[in-house]
Amino acid sequence: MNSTTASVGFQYRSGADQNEAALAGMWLFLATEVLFFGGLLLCFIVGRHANPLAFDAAARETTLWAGTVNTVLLLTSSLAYAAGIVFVRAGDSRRLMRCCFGALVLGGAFIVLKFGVEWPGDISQHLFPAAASFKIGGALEGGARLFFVFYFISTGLHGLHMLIGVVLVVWIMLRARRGEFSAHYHTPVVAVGLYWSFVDIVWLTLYPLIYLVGRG
Amino acid sequence: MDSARPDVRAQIDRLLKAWGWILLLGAIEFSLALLPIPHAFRPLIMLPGLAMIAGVALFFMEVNRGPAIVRAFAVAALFWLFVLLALGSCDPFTRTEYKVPPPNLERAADTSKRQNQARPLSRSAVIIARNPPAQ
Amino acid sequence: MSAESADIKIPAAAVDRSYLHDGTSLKSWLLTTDHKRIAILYFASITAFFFLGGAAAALVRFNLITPQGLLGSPETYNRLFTMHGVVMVWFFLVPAVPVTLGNFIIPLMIGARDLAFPRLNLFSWYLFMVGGTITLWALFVGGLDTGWTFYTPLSTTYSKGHVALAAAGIFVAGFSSIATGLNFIITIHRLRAPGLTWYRLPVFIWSMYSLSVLLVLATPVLAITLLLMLLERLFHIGVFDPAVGGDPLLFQHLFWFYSHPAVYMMILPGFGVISEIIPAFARRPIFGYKFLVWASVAIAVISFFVWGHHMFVAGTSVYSAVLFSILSYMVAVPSAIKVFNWLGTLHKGYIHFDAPMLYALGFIGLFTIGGVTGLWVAALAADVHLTQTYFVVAHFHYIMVGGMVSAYFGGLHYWWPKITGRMYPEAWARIAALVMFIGFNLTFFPQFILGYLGMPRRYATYAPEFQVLNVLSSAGSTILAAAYLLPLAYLLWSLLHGKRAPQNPWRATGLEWQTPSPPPTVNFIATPHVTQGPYAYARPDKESSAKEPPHGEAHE
Repeated sequence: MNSTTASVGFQYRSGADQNEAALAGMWLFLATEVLFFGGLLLCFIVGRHANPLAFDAAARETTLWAGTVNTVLLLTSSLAYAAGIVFVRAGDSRRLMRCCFGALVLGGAFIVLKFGVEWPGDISQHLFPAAASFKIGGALEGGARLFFVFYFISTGLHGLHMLIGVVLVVWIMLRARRGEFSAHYHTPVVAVGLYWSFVDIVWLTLYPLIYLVGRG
Repeated sequence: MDSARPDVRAQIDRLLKAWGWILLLGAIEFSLALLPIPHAFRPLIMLPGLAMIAGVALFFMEVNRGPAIVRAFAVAALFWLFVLLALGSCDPFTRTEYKVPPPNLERAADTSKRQNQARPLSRSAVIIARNPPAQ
Repeated sequence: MSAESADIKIPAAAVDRSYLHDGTSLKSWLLTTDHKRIAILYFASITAFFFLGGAAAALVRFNLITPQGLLGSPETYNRLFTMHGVVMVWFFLVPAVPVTLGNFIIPLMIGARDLAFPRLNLFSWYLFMVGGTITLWALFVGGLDTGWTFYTPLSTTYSKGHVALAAAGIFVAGFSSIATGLNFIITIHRLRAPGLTWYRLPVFIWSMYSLSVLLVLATPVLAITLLLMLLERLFHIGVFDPAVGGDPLLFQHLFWFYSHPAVYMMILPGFGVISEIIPAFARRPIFGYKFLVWASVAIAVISFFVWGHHMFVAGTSVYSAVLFSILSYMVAVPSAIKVFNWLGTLHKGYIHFDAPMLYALGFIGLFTIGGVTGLWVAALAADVHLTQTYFVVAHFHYIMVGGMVSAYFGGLHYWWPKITGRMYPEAWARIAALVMFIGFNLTFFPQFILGYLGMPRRYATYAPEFQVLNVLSSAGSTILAAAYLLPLAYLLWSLLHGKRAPQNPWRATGLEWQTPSPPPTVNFIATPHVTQGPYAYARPDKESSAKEPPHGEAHE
């Protein structure tokens, strides 16, 4: 069956209509995600305003190299997936699968570096905000703890989104393997690509806030 | 039925170029962070980051390719994000701040003495006094 | 391209039979993707939550009959009003009209066969039920005492109730709201019938669209706020904890960024319902259609600018308070436009006092009182006196119960023949509408006076001089309770014994009346083509000569 989609809902006029609705739905979902992370962003802005010196002191404790390497990893992963979309548009499912695999490896490296190397390092350096002893003492302790509250919650939530993204990309790979995508029908590939790149955008917001702005 | 076969090579090149530019912007952002910029202006370091976000949205997500409604959703998200951040920081940025004494000091302070000195209560104390825990 | 439409296969049973008879097993209901059946699932859940929240309110009013409180313990009282607030706000008021009437009517009104994402629609019901179950569990294993607002540091540090569990339930239910809003927006954008341009959409659709914008953009902020509060309570990672330089007021900012628009999530669908009922029973086209629809959109936008008026006495900055006060006045403008438009529609109309119309008329009066008293509490100086008193309680109950619940019952009666294929008993329905109006005013009007005199809200006991008004209010609440039980009884009765409903019992013009009652699973056997605006009502005295033109016609 080489139709526009696997199955068209009877509320749509055509498969093309359904595909467009699905992509618009994904965009709208991403708009809700902007507001979700927006709440965190407001917490950072207000926290930095109230504790300017402490936020700078805390930012200097973050692992700059890990954050920077992760930025490159994530952008390259997004590139790989975007290339996959170009290939599937031309009907090349084999290259799509290779691109997905590349995106997965790079995304996986991000997750390992973030939660396998950076987080344990932070925690062993007494930077966990709820721990009894905290690396930064004195007048700046409170605000520095607040910075790391933001750090752990925001990178944790971002990591959760990464994990969901990994599951989605694996799902796309499996469907591509079954030969479900063609030059005519590849809406799920594009939709997952939107999500995967959006996770980048979140990181591109977090990266300067956590690693760069406070490093004077 | 199939329109002209898209030039895959050219599209991949375009993506690679975009990726290169985004990384270049990242490098600029990174180097800006190493400059001794005063605290108040340091958030401006994020400007190349915003350009990077625009790059991802334009080239990897192809925000300008889909129907108009997609751009409407993107604009709506940014507008409401702006409302949240602008109106949300309006109060904290203009509020009258009182020094918060260290918690142990506050507990040790003699209440009658404090009344005589008439020093301002800590912000947290004011807030707790106005929203007393239910009996 | 034309080959594509061959992919769309419609099962024969979906055309012949009404949606109620397209499968009768439990599975056919629990795994349905038909928007009409999902609406019925929601009706059942929403009704249960409504009576649960109502029972808590009844106990609150019972406690306040005497100044010392009849329930004995303030802890019990705190848990009861929290239960009332949590259940009513998140599990009745916010979802009620959209997930039931909206779910059922939106595709019918725009000539579509279903919502854009039917499986997402079913999924949202399951999310709602999971969230509701978690929250109910928290309420029944001991409850919580924070009020529905979860203010920090009470919720994060001092409360001994099940804050985490309740908030987790609301968090889950929030995603159900987001899914519903997303579904509605895409549906209204993509699935309108041929010829149904934006300015030919019924006002109900515009209201649901505006509401969906609120659901989609405000609810995520509630989600992150509750999550931050939960992390602070469970793991002491405190964003709102002043001990680590955090700001407890920031919680209130984030919370009200959601919860003030939430007020409009409750009332916008009400506006939509009323805008359908009034033209149908005044036999006139709606007055100032474009003003009405743009007022809905304006409310959806401006409602995000006003949340700071909940925090005038919380210690926020004077500058922001002045700003929020001015912006709060602005949101009254589109609301007032709507009231004038309804009155303009009624003017020189041929008014039929059927039950839906009685609810609609009640809505206009009660909403106006609620709206105007809202201006009092939006005024900075007046608010210092009125805030945290029963005046505020009375104000928002006039909006939410007098407004939204009236609209819900109005819409329920108006579309009941379409939904069930049965007529409700008209005499009983009129009696219920009247008793509800009387009971409501008796319950809540005394609270305006109590608040003005200075009785604070959320206390189990009060000064003896307030007793007369409190007894009046409690007496009114028993009448109100009886008025709510009446429709439960006669609507259930009508399911079995009601008269069979014709296709269009109200001779209304909406597309939903151009298909049988109850509709077949596919809604429309032939896709309707729309040729004119939604409220083409002709004057009744000229009806005999000129045939009333329908909003759209089904062409073969």
